[in-house]
Amino acid sequence: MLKHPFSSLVINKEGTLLFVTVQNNILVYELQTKELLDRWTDEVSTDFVIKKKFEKIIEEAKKKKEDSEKEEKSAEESSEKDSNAAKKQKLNSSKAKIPKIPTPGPGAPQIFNDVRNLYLTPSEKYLIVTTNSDKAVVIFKLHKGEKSVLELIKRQPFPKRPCSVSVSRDEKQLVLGDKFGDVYSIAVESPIIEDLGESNLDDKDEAKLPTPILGHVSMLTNVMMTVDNNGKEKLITGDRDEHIRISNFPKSYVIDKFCFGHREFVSELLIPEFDRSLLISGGGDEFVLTWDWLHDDKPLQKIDLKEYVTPYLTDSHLIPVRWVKTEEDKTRKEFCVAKIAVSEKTRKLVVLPEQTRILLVFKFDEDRKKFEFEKLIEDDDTISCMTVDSMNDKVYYGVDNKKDLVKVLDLDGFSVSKYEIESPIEVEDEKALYPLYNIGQLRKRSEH
Amino acid sequence: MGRGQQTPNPAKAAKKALDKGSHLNRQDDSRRKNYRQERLENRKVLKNVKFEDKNEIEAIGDQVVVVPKKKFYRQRAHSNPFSDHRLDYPTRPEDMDWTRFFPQYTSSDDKKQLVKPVTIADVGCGYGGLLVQLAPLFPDNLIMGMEIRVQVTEYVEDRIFALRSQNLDKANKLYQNVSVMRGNAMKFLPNFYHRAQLEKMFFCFPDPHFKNRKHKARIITNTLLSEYAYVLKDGGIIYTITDVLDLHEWMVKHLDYHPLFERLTKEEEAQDVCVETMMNATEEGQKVSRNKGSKYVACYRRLPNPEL
Repeated sequence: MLKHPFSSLVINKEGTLLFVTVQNNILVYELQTKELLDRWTDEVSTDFVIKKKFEKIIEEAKKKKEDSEKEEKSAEESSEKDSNAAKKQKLNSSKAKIPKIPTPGPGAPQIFNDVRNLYLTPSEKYLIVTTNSDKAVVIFKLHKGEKSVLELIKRQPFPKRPCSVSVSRDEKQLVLGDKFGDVYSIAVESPIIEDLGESNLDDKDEAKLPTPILGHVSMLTNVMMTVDNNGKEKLITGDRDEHIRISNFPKSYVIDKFCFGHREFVSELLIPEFDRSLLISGGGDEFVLTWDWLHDDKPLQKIDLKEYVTPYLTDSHLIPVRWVKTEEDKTRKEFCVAKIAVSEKTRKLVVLPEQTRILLVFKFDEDRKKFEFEKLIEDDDTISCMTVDSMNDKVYYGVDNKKDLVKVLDLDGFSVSKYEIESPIEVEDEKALYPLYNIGQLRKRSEH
Repeated sequence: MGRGQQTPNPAKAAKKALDKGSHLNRQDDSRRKNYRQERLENRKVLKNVKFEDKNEIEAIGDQVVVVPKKKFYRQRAHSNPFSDHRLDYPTRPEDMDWTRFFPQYTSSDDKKQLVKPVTIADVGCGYGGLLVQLAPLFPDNLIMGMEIRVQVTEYVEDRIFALRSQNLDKANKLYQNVSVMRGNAMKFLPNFYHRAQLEKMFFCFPDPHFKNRKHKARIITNTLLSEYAYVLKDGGIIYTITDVLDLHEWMVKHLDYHPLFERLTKEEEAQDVCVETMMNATEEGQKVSRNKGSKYVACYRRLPNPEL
């Protein structure tokens, strides 16, 4: 049996709990004792949405058929003379087929019901994830110090896939960005909106959806609520084009500024606690940008990653065959930033380039307000995910070798040790593994 | 514009078009391609021509001054604003080289800058009917058309070049203040224009996207209006016109709902020369008139930002 590598990690501020997503599961560990405290599994199957949709259609079709059969009968009984019309009707009703729930053909890409966007709210009152199965936001109340940590309080499906979540300062409003670029704000603890997920925008179900508070004409990759130096709430949104937009909140229709500098998609946004005026962003570019986001729309610093990362790129970083157009393309490798994180106490920035076996550590120079390269950490295996335990100044990262799951990097001294942890999630063979490296797919490619 | 996402090599495209042309000589398709290819070659020269450079234009020959024929540039009327087109756009407004579009207004101090910014945008300008009417009406403004369809943009480009060269001798040097580019305004408007740069934005006969599920592709939506508000200065005006009542009602609903816009009164509309022009200038507008259809106008003023 293979141990399924982890797809994301989060550690709380106190450094006591480790949250993990793997396949369709959330696992919660006590960080020090490594005891598995809680587990939640998304039981909804991947064909949930289509099934539910077709159940409705089938029901309607059946009803229609019954009705028309009834009519037919009554028509036959009442007027034998009008046989032509009856015949016609008979023909119609026999034609009315009851549709079947479609099943994917042999060539169809596999759909995974993985759990994504593991998000711990700033007060650590809630843990929020999004699901791939029914395109829902799942909200848990956290009970720290208790055996069962996760209390599911709400599962709200949406018609379009939620891609990123955040909460307002009072943690009463959930802010969510979807695949079609709209941002919605819904109350965290309100009852769910029934049938929202199945609402088919072809009919009048649009009304069920709250009005978006803002929108991009591009897939949203990151939404982040924050507060400026005057205590006003701001909403920062990143998209699959290159935009980082800063809007006011709740008056989100007033755009504060755009931060221009990325040339590929933006997927990671972060404001460190140690300097709230600093915004760090990364994505499809071979660099990470920092911004003085309160005052300027130009980057403060461009942290080039290419020279460090290039020696560690593999064939998995070649551009997809379909897009190979020239000789040069055949050997061209691309990488993107899978994750950025900071250690608050020592003011270090850790960057994980996607599907590589390295972590890059940069140290913050306070006077110059700039990050300087400090260390390249090389592992034997590809790193699938990482998070920082700021309390203890350590990086926990997931390794993709199907036996060890997590390793720990001490940012003070840069020693690496195994973090031996038991995971109940095992698979028979490689084929049963869920994909771990999805971010590079956001890259735009086009012929026209 | 350093984005490296240019359209395919024009020389290659030309060869392809010509090769194809020799085999399928009689087909309309290749005739259209050849015609456009010829125009493309001219356009390369004309792009940077100021009105002093009359010789260069004469070198190209008589054909230049002839307004292009629309039939060679037809393209289907829809384009998906969500798709990843190969578009040329600046990373930030400062990086935009506007002098390619308005060579006449290049600053003498800085050859990459214009003497004044673009202040009027025609979003989805189509075949450019409105642009060429606006040019003489607003001689002191720079007017930019934006169109997502490649061939339609090329037509407008050729049309403007033809008009410019026809007017070189005249004292008023018409049409130097109007230009066009291919682009997706729904995605990249803030890449081109600074905050509060624009005075007027036109949305003439936009794609109605009738299906409910396509409504997000409409060019006037609550969420996009915030972006338009960002590039418009206080008091700037959004002009909309359509022949589809349902779309008109949609646009009015969304503009009414948006806190940064206020509708112009009927009197204000009547006094605005743009409204009259918009009713009659565009190709779509003329088509509607020919078919005796109705035209619905709604104009909105950008209000100052509220206290935050």
